[in-house]
Amino acid sequence: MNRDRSAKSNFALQRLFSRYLDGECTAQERQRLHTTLRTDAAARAEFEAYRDLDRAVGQAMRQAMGRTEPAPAWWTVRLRLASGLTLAAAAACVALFVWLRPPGPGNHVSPPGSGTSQAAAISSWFVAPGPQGDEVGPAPAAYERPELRVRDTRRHWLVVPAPEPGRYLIIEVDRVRTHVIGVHQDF
Amino acid sequence: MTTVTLDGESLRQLVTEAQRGDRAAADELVREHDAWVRSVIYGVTGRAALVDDIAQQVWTRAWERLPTLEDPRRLRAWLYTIARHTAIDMGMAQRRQQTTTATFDEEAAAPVPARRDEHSPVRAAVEREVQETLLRAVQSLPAIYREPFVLRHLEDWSYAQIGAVLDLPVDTVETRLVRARRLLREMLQGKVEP
Repeated sequence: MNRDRSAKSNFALQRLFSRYLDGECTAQERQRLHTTLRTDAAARAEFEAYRDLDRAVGQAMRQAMGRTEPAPAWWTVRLRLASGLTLAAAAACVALFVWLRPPGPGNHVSPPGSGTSQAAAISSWFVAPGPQGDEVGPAPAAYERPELRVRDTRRHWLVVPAPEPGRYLIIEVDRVRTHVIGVHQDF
Repeated sequence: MTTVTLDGESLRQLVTEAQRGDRAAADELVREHDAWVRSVIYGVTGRAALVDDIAQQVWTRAWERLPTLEDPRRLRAWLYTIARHTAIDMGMAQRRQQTTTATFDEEAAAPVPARRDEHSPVRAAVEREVQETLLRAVQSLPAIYREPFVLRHLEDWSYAQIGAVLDLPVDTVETRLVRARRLLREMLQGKVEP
């Protein structure tokens, strides 16, 4: 008997929660709910659980159905802050890159009569200057794109004919990730 | 949220024009009613992945049967009937094709770790898993509870509006929503962190 009464009372409370969450409460019901939540910690915890679940399920369904919804105000603020920080970080990266960029022949002007050689003027924090990197000659006019690909069960190689007959550059290719990149100067 | 903006007279006029074969009027009807029709389909099937195909079928059938609609003011109820029957037919056909059952998967709804790093792939994976768990719980609700629950959340309809479309008394709508929430809570308790 007591259990029945308790179940009925519980159902009445859940009904009140449900009406509130659905915006169907009268002013009197809202007042009753607020009083209950203030005085009954267990009811408050249960209401919060229902409310949070309702929001989460609603959001999941809207996402699944491709319904966009306006982001809450706090989230918008966070987004704005994040995009502001991102812009500032991007600007700092660009400034750092320009500052650290090794001066090339086109963008480095030696003062006349300073006596500074071109080799001495080339400096970089990333790559030490050296003949291997800097003195690559132009590709021969008859240069052709490599067509030969050697394949076995584990590795790929690209075999690139060198300018001199009988010499090849062999590049081992990782089969898992192969990238195609633009090369501005032929090796 | 769906806003059905047409008043009675505009709706009657639009339906009449569509019945005469005016494609522009038919397009306007689809634009006005497509969102809630989709919610009905989702409410019936519980599977968002089926909604596009079924909605297409619903509008094809509606277009074919439009001349039989005698009272344009009953368009909503008429569309609801078509959407519900089509969703049941196609949902069941789809279910027959599947080998897996659509019951709530206890294993898949295992507790989700509480630790979340923002913007990390781990966090994204956790969020995806939580969303899937929530959707599975919705899917495993009995359809009589799921339908009003989905219309309430996706369309933001009042109890009276839901009752009018589902042809149910307001009290019944309310009771079904309470039971839907209670069932969801029982299914998800301790399994997801809101």
